[in-house]
This record gives sequence, structure tokens and C-alpha cells, in this order.
Amino acid sequence: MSIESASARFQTRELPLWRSGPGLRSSLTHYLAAFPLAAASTLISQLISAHAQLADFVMVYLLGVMALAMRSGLGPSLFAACVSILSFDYFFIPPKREWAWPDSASVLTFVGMLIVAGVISGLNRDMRREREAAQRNEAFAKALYRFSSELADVSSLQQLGTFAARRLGELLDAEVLVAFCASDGELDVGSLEVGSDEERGLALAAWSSSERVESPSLLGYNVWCPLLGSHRSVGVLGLSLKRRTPPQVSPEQRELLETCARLLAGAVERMLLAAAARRAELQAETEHTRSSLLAAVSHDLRTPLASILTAATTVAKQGSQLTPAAQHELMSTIVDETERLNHLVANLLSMTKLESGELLLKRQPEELSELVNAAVSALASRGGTERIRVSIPSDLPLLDVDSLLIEQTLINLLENALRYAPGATPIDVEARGVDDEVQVRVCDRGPGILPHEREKVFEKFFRGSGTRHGDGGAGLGLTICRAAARAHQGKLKALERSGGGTCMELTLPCAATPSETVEE
Amino acid sequence: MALQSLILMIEDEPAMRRTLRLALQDEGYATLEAATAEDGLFQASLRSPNLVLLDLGLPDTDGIEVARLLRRTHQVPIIVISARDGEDQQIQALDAGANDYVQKPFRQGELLARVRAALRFSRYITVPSESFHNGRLRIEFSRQEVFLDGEKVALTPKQYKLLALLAREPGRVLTHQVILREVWGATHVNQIQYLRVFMKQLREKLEADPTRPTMLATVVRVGYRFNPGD
Repeated sequence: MSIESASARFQTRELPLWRSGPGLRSSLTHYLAAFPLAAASTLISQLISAHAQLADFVMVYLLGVMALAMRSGLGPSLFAACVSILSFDYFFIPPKREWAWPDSASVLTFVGMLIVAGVISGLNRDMRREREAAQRNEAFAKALYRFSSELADVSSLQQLGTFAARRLGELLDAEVLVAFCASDGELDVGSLEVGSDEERGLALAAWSSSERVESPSLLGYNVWCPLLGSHRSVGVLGLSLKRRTPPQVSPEQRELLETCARLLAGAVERMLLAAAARRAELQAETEHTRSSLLAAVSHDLRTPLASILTAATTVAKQGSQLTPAAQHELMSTIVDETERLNHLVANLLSMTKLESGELLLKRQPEELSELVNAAVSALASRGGTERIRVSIPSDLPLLDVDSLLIEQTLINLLENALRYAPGATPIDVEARGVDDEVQVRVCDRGPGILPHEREKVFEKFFRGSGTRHGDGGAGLGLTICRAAARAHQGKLKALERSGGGTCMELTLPCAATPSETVEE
Repeated sequence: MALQSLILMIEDEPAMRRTLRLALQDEGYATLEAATAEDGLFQASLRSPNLVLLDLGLPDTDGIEVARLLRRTHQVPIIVISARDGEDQQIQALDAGANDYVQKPFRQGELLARVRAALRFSRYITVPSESFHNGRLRIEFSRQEVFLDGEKVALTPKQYKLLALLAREPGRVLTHQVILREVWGATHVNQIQYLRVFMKQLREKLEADPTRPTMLATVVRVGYRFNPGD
């Protein structure tokens, strides 16, 4: 069991989404505003007093109260209404400049003023709330949109965890920890990067119950939300709110958290499905390769084995009755076929190793001529090696290669040349240094390779249309040669030789030249 | 005819033992057989064979350890028989004191040639020789002089050291590590490029065709062997 993704935590920066409204910020100034307002209303009323009546003054005061009610809450509005009423009473209701108990008409005015203040401030409050809600919704939608669109760009489960932790951390003003289930579907709470076992317990509870779990009293990651896929929880999401007072999540945050968790779970599931599909595809391909390999190999192994068994049993049963010539012939068959088998097994082993990536190259500075000589000696028992002409400049730099692998590559190339080039035609091995590489060419005067087959000859079990069945080739040699070249960051190409024939061009890296003097 | 050479085979596979026995007896050698390392070591001390053929994949003891024990107690040449892909083992066995190795599967001719060479020069293990010479090459170890077709060859001290090291035990495979340690010192055991450069120089001075050397033979991945020729 292992957590498949790293968890990551990020600290929060500013968050436009959850800032508390401006209302409380300056309620005192709102109350105090009642006084300049009343003063202004009184002043205006004084200015127009020559042409106006009592009702006009009421209007002026009322406008002032309305103006304030538009901007503040119920309390400041009613307070402003009261201050205005007192000013109006003092300055304008006869007897002027004196507090007087108002008459019934004035009381009606006062009550009207209070009602207007209350109603307008109420309306204003509703309007403001709606506006704020709209803004919040917009921010919410924007955040979600951004989250989901960024989610689409994430390509690995690892990245997904990191991204989700950072982005949600910013959105929710919290430290966020994301953990996904391992491929076996289990959640490894033990490896969660949290401080306490209580937190692990909460994570496990959220995961197993598929519901959000909160424990406000706990320090650290105290809110855990499961990542619900279509069938099961694919992970958990932990929130640590310790940077916030009070350490709680608002309903909006809760909603955002759950929506993001759903989006995240969807993304995780998609990724897991894609990975499973890739695995299945790879497996099918491997199966296919394996079965075709098996078919080809069993044929190539059985053919020499059959010859050996027949020849050997003949000699064993009727050895004394056979003529010496017949005996010799049967023995030669056994030897030749065994060599062929040996060669095939060696190639198969190399190929398996090269393909499985199991082969660790043992690179050493090597002299190309030594490797060519070794390859030629290895082919000596096969015959025909006197056809091989080696011309390697003596100042050729040392190669940086795995000697056995390159020796085998050279053996395969030379053997191909010997096999397909007719009779006594020479096989030329040439080499030259090009920059920090060495190009080795094995050239023959054989029938050549058709242009459209020059790449195909490197495919497994491909036999050129010019080859005959039963000529000993298994269609593996060149595949191995190319794999070996590539393992060295080198190249192997089939080229047409001018004047007829084929050149196999092997490019290999050079070793660094000895820097210090080696004598004494 | 000289005394028959006695060859001890330590090999656990009966089929391989039987084939080896037939091949060796056919060449006129006397043979001893052991299926385990314990029996092999016992027979070696009892019969003092002239040569040991040692399979590295023995059931009871690691073949490399057997090589080390044999070398410590008997001055006998050891030819190691190992599976393919066992280069590391071969190198370890050579460093433990084996003279040479053959890889399974091998041809009879290949094995017999190694056996002949090892037997011919087995005396060098005990008695360091004063000089070496074959048809073309003569090395006077005491005077540190080398002659080719009767003419003195000028070698640098390192070139001579390298040649002498190999030629003192003809037929024996010396690993890169051993050669580098002996010629250049323990701090240079990984500087194979030195060895390559000097081997090339030596071949140019001593071999008839330096591109197809006959005396200074390469053993790919493992090291070098001095083939004395006939």
C-alpha cells in the first residue's frame, strides 16, 4: 500500500472570495454622519425659509435621512431620523429655538420620517445583500471554472495532487493536503504528512464513510473531504484552518470545497482509467510480441534440434554399419546445427536482455581493431573468414563501448555478410573517426537490400525477400545489432554500396582521450 | 614418450565429464574426475595432477573459492570452465589464480589448445624463467632486453614491463586490473585506456601484422594473453 501521489501544502495569500462585507467596518462614522446631515438640512431649510413653508422643511430633512439610509443600515438611519426630528423641532416648529412638545400634525411627520428611514434602509440592505451574493456567485463560478480548466491541463497524478493542494489552498484560505488511493484502492493513512493520529483517524473516517468529516476543536487538518469517484472514494482532501479565526468553514466554502472535490475525483478517475487502458494496451502488445517470438523461436530452435537428433540417433544405432564417409557427414551435420543453435540462443539471450533493459552496459575504452579481431576469430570455425579484409586506421580513437555487446554486434554483421555475399567476394571492414564518434562499416558484394526493406531488416524476425529459408538466419541478428548500437547512443544503418552490395554503418561513441601522459 | 600428463576435472555434470574424459584420453592424457569441490580438492592433494579443469558452477562450493584454495596449496595450472555471460566470474577466477578459461559451450579443439598451452608452460608457475624465446622473439628477463629476429627492439620501460609481465607466464590470461596494477600501480587500475595505447604500441613493434596479432592476444572484456607460438 502506498500513497500514489505526493501531498502538498501551500499557504494562502489574499482571497477576494471570502472577505467580510464593508458593513461593520465603520458603523460609528455612520452614526456620527447624522449630525452633519442634520446641520446641513437645517442650514438649507434656513436658506429657503423666506419662501417656504413648514412642509418644505420636512421634505429637506426627509431627503437628508433618505440619502443616509441609502448608504447605511437600520440603526444609523433611525438615529439620523431622530437627530433630524429634534433639529426640525428645535429650529422650525413654533416656538422656534426652543424644545416644544409637538402637536399632532408634527408627530405624524416625525413618525413618517422614521418609517421612511426604516423602509429605505431595509430596502437598501436587501439590495446590497443581493449584490454581494451576485458578486460572490460570480467569484465562485470563476474560481470553479479556473479550477476545472486548470485541472484539464494536469497530466499526471503526482501533478494533480500538487496542483489541487495549491489551488484549493488559495481558494479556501487554508492549508490543503491531497492524498490519493494506491492502485489497490486502499488509502495509506500512515504515510499522510500530518502531525497526529487524530488527523489520520479523521482522514480514514472521511474516506471510509464517503462523507465530509469536521472536528473544529482539533488543531491541524481538521476538515476532511472524501474524493468521491463514480464507484468509490479515490482519495481524501484535508483542510487545515489554523491561520484563520474562527477556524471554521463558511457554507459557501463548504460548497466550493465539495464541488472541487467532485471535480478532482473525476480527474483522478479519468487518469486512473487512462493509465489502466495504457497498461492493457501495452500488455496486449507484449502478448502479441511474445507469441510471435515464441512461434518464430520454437521453429528456429526445433529445426536444428531435429537435424541433430536424427543424425545423432543414426550414428548411435548403426554407427558400425555406416561407411566412414556417411559417419563423417552425419557428424558434420551435428556440429553445424549445434553451432547454429548456439548462435541463436546467444542472440536470443542478448535480445531479451537488451529489450528488458536489464543489461547494464560495461563501458570501457576499447580498441576497435581488437574487437574486430575477436569477432573474426569467433567466426573462424564457421569458415570463410579469410574473405574479411580489415582496414582500420591506426590513429583511430578508442571507443567507449561495452566490448562483449559490440563484439557480438560485429559477429552478427560479419556473419550476415558472409552468409549473403556470394562465394569468394571480399567483406570489407572500414572505420573512420567523425567528430567524437567512430563510423564502422561492414561492406559486402552481396545481392544488396531492396530500398524499401532497408529499415525493415532491423525488425524482429524480418527476413529480406532475397533470403532463403533454412539458410541459418533467424531474423534476429540485425535487431540485436541495432538495439546494441542504440544502447550506446549510437546508430546502425543499412546503406547501398556503390558497385553493388550492402554497407552496414555502425556509429559508436569515442572514449575521452587520456589526458595525462601515460609513460612513467 | 614423456610421462602422461594427469588432468583433474572438477565438474558436476556427468555428461560433460564423460565427454571431457573421452576427448582428453583420446589426446593421450590421463584423467581424474570429481563431481564436487570437496572431492576435487581431496583428489588434487592426493594425486598432484598436472592440470585442473574447474567448472565454476559446482553444487557445494563457489568455484572461485576452489580456484583460490587450489592455487594456494598446489602449483598447478587451472583452466576454468564457465557458463556464457559469466564474465565477472571469469575475471574473479583469473584474479584468484586461474590461468585461463573456456566458455561453455566450447569446441573440443578450443579446449585442447588451452590444455596444451597450459601444460607446456606450467613450469613457469614454479620456476621463473630467465628468458623466453620462440622463432622470432627473444626476451632476456635478467637484462631486460627484447630481440625480434635477432635484432634488438627498443622498448620504453613501461612497454617492456607490460611485455615481460605477460611473457613470464605464457598462455595465462592476465586481467586488465592485474596488468594495470603491476605496470602502472594500484592508483591506475581503472585507466584501461593506458593499457590499450601501450598494447597497440607493443604490437606495432613486435607483431608481423599489428592488426592481426598472434602473440599479444586480446581476451575481450577480460584482459590479455601472451601466446608463445610454437
